[in-house]
Amino acid sequence: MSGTQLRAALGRLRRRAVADLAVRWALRWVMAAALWCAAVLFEARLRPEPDVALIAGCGALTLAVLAVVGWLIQRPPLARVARVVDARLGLDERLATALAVGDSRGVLDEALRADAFVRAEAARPGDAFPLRGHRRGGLIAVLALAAVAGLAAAPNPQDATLKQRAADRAAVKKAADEIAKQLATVQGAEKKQSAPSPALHQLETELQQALKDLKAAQTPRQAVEALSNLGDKLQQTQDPDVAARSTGEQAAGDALAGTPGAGQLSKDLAAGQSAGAAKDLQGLASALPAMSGAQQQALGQGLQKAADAAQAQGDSALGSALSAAAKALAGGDVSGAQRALQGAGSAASGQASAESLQQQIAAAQAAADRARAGAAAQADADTSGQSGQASNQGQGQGQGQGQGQGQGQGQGQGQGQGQGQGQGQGQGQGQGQGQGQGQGQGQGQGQGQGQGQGSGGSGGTGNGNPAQSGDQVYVAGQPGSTDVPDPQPLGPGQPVPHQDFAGVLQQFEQSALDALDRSAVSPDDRTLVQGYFSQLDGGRQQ
Amino acid sequence: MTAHVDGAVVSDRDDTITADDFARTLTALEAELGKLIVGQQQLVRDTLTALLAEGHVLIEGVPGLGKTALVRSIGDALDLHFSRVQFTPDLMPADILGTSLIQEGDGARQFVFQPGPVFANLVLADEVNRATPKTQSALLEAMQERTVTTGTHTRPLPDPFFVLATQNPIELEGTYPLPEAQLDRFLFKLLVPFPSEDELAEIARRTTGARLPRVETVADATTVRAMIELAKAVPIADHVVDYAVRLVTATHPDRTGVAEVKDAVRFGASPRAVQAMVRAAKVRALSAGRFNVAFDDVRATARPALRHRIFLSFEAEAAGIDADRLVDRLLDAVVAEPVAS
Repeated sequence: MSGTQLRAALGRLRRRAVADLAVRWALRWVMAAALWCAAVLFEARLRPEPDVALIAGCGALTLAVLAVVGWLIQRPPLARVARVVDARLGLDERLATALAVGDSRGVLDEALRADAFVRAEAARPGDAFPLRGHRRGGLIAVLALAAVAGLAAAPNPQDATLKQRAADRAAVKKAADEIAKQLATVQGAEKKQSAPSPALHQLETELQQALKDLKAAQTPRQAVEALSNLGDKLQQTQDPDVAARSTGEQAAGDALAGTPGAGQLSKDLAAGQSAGAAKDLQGLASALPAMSGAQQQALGQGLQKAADAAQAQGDSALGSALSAAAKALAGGDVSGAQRALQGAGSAASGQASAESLQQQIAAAQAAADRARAGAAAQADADTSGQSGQASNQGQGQGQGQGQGQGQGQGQGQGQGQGQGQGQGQGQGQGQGQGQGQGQGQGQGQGQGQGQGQGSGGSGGTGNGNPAQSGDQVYVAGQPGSTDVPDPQPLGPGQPVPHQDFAGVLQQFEQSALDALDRSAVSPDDRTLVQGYFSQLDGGRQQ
Repeated sequence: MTAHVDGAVVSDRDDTITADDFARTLTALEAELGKLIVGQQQLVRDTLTALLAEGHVLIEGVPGLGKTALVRSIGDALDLHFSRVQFTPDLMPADILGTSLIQEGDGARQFVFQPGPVFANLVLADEVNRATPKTQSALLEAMQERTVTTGTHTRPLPDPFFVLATQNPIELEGTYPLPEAQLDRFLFKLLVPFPSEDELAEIARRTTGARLPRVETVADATTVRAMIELAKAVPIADHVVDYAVRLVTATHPDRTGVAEVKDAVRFGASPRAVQAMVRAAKVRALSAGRFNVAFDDVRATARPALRHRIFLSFEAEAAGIDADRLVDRLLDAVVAEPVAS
């Protein structure tokens, strides 16, 4: 009997010992992972956590790695297995001693090896390392898993918040995608430009900034703010004269109809094809020397009519150029007429570029409006959800919201929630839902005057009681859920977009006056507002 | 001179003994002693274990319990040269070791060494605590060195050589208790319990008849020597040795984790305790038919090997704590095989 044979016999027991250790570590892992998952799930019930599964999974995976490492480190050597088997099967240290003796040839060593080999062969691995030894650990693991399953299956009070946040993220992403798509279009158009266009580049910069703001936005409200800023900037970049010039071109085209040698030019101008008209004008200038005097005279008369029509519609550049050409032809100055026609072509070409730019701006504006509408809808949905959440949590806040119709105006700052219709101006931050016209964002406590009718919503106290003219109406704010932090009021240190006072005053004034026109405002108040803006205008002019 | 051949010990006389022979001889020896010694199986087993572990035994018990009869019977059963020394206060070292006498012969006078009773295979030192320390020391030196030195001449004692000393734990007046260093020379200290009523009746029946039981010879000195050598060859694993070491270490109040030991022990066992336990455990393993030492062997030898090596404090003795109780507590506290759990 050799030590090798004995080691081979013990190897069978060791394999069982390693498997037994694997079961032990697996149970440890199950218990630890269950504990971790339970902790994560419990935490997720206290605070909204969107990545519960990821956190729990990563933790469980880490623990699994640790368990495998622990198992690998603890795999018992043969000597340890021999000692364990000796102890558990009552072999009186035969196996461990025989293994320690090895192949030595002492007086009793051979007899000891033979005795140990026989007993090792007879030993049943299941007796030395029984599965029932893991019953307790297995039971604890099953209980832990059951607890985790129960926690996972139980309704999570944070689910509504998570759902809302997911919708918020989706809304913001959708808005960002919209702007990104528009940005790509603008960049494509910019590449097609033969010469750099500062205006197009400016548009691209604005879109990039808006996209950056959207990616940084955490809430739909912030997205709306970013998109509003974009809208304002796009509005500033619009050229209101482009439309007038386009009308002038069309009028000129109509006036040119029937003029000899200007048929194509007439069609392009009438169709608003400024680029084509520009080429036509260049061609016409080149063709002038070849025309007869009568033809030149007839052309001059047609051009004069077109110039008059263009100037009548406000396109002074085209009108002046055409008029100059007409006068040159009338005086027989062909070269002067050529130069004038080339100038008119340049004006038409500039108009073509301006129209293209305005189309890009309009498309961007439309994209911003669509994105803002989506984000605003989600923000409104958040407001409703928070109101419902406050109700469900029984925070002692008012329940229900009134709906009313009315008109009025007011100014105020504050926070709160409300629904209503009306007009107003104000500054502030908050959440609200409303319909109407006006500027600003805000909700909560406001002060205004107006007339209207309203009825309270079912199940709640409405704030839309009929108002009398001249009444001071205070709309109480409705605090949201205590789980949702109140929005920060505007103030120092916040990224408030700055706009020049002179840039917004006119728009502000127009909106206010429009509101006065549409509202049943007392004459005294109307006079007061008008006087207020007059005073501001006076100050600006000074 | 001995040699190892195929698991057996071969002596100069070509006597061989196997593990089976060892167990068989030991069983026969116990059976033979049982003819004369009623009960006391554990005492007999421990005495023979110490003998085969090549150690000396201190037997403690009140008079009349058969201590002398046991030792004499062992001598008869093993066919060993037996001598008995009754220790008294006036016993001198020369009375034990021997002395040189002037002898006349062939017209000349010369000193001739007359060996004392210690020159025997089996020496019974009866009531060893009655002799003076000087005499005790002479015997104990011979026990340790297995030689006797007189003058400038050193003489070896017979092989095998065993001393079985007895002492009476009750009569302490006029005695000289063995000092700790000399107690350490005994492999075992055995206690002779008082027989049960049935055993007393059996003693009466056996010893009051016309014929006394006669012990037959089972083995001779050569066989005993072979058995001793075979027992030495029993393998013992390191972790079993470690267990014996941990047990002995735990007897020391400054190294133990056992509160009772800290409180009750003045000095713990010496390294000889480990040697004693391992040697005796090997004999026990062979007698059980095993070829290796088990934890149980060490545990079984702990009491007789440690009880005379643990020195209790005065407070513990006053409180009636004995060494056996502490050893039992140590056996409970020191885990034999920690890897099994």
